[in-house]
Amino acid sequence: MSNAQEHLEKAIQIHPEFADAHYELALILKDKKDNEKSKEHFLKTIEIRPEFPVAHFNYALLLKDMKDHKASQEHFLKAIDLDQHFADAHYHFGLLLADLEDFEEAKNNLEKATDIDQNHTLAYYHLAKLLIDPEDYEKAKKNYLTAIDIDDTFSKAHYYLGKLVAGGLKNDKDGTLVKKPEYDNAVTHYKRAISINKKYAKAHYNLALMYKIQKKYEDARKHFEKAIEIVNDYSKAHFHLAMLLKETGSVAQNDKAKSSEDAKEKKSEKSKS
Amino acid sequence: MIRRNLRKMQKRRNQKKVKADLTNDLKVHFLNALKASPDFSEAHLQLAQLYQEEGDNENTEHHFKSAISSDSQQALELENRGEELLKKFQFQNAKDQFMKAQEKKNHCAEVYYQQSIFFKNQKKTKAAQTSLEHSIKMNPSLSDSHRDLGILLSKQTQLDDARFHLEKALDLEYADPSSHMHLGKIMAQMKDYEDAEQHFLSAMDINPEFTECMLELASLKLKMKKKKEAKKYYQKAKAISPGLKHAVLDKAIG
Repeated sequence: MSNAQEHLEKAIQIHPEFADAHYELALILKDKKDNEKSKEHFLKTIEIRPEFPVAHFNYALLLKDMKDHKASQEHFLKAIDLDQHFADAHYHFGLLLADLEDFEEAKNNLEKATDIDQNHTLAYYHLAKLLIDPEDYEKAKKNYLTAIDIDDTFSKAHYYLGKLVAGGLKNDKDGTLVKKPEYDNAVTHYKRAISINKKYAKAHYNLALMYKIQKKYEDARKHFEKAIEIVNDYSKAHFHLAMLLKETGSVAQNDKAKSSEDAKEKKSEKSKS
Repeated sequence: MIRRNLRKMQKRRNQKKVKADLTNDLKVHFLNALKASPDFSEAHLQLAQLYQEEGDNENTEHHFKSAISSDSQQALELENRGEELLKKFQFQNAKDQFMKAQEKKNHCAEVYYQQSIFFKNQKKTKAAQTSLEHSIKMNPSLSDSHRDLGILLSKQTQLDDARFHLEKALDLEYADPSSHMHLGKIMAQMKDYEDAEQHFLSAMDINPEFTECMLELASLKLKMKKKKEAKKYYQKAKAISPGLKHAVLDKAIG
């Protein structure tokens, strides 16, 4: 038992209605994954001080971990109701709603989080990930770019932005569905993701796919192999590497045959001389 | 001279070895892909084709079957997921699922089509026909399957059904000379000589060196008692393939 926990428990013994002590103890227990006890102290905190937004927020996070989604939603809403500028409450509520597949409400809450805290990198990033409709292409791109603008070392934002622009599926100005992939742009972001995290297997794999499209077969092969080196059982990387070998096989075969021929000839010339 | 021949032999041997090495590499990667994802239908299809090239019928059949069952299962799951999302009014996400389901079905149709070729090579006509019927069910707009099914049915003298599928194949892919030729043959059997001629001419228009079609047209002209024209097409075919022989045409106009 930690020192802080002991003191808090003593404080509660002396003064059972000490809301702050219950709250701090609940947080310690939550960190220790003692969820049931943490829940007890959160409930006590809220009972003593019902208008305590951060307590509702942290209790909602605990309930989310405990998979009690309905109760979690109620306490997120309570926290937001008590403090309408609570960016993190909107952000985490948005993530919960996305898990529950209520995507529209999830987007609204993540957008609200970015409105309140304009440096909320994760809110921009998760909002962008939810904007999958071709109609929202530009909006998604803008959100990824904002996340990257705030934190350029955010490798996942680079990676997913790469995937978005590589797909390039969007609505034109007149509303028609068009596919305008930006391969060079995608390559830039995959490369950046890799420069931040060298073991980012998915980024290596997707970069290889881009190189394959751009007919840079050697580079493609190198990155497929790198992805497999990082994740040995990366099935898609194995498959596409095989397809690359198959498609370029004739060239490689000729080259191999030619080089082996050249080597033989050189050998015979040497022996003659 | 001997040295040159030896060098040529060595070169051929090296090329064979490189091809064998490549096939082994491909197999290793496709099998690795399946180790991590046993339902990876694209990998199953590629393996089926590799084994088919090697004449390993057992493995070919196994991988075709696995590809089909993976695709069908995944398509079903995606459709169910789409239905669930529709009930929740999540139209965009539902649409994504349905589109993915159709992609799976299209791939499954391609697998069935490839499987039909494998069965045809093995002279298993009934099995080939079933594969083609499944292929069309999975993706009704696959012109190759309609064409091949039409050809199979025409060989079984099921002319109306054969005609239906060949016409469908042409609706989907008008520039396919083979569909034109086979439809022409059916028309000729149904004594619709004018339409038959049109299809033969279309086929030759698309592929000016289509000697098989020239022989069909020559035979048709012979049936229509137009010996001079029959001779013209037979000679045209012979000009492209000098070794060409056709017993009936040789006897009548040769």
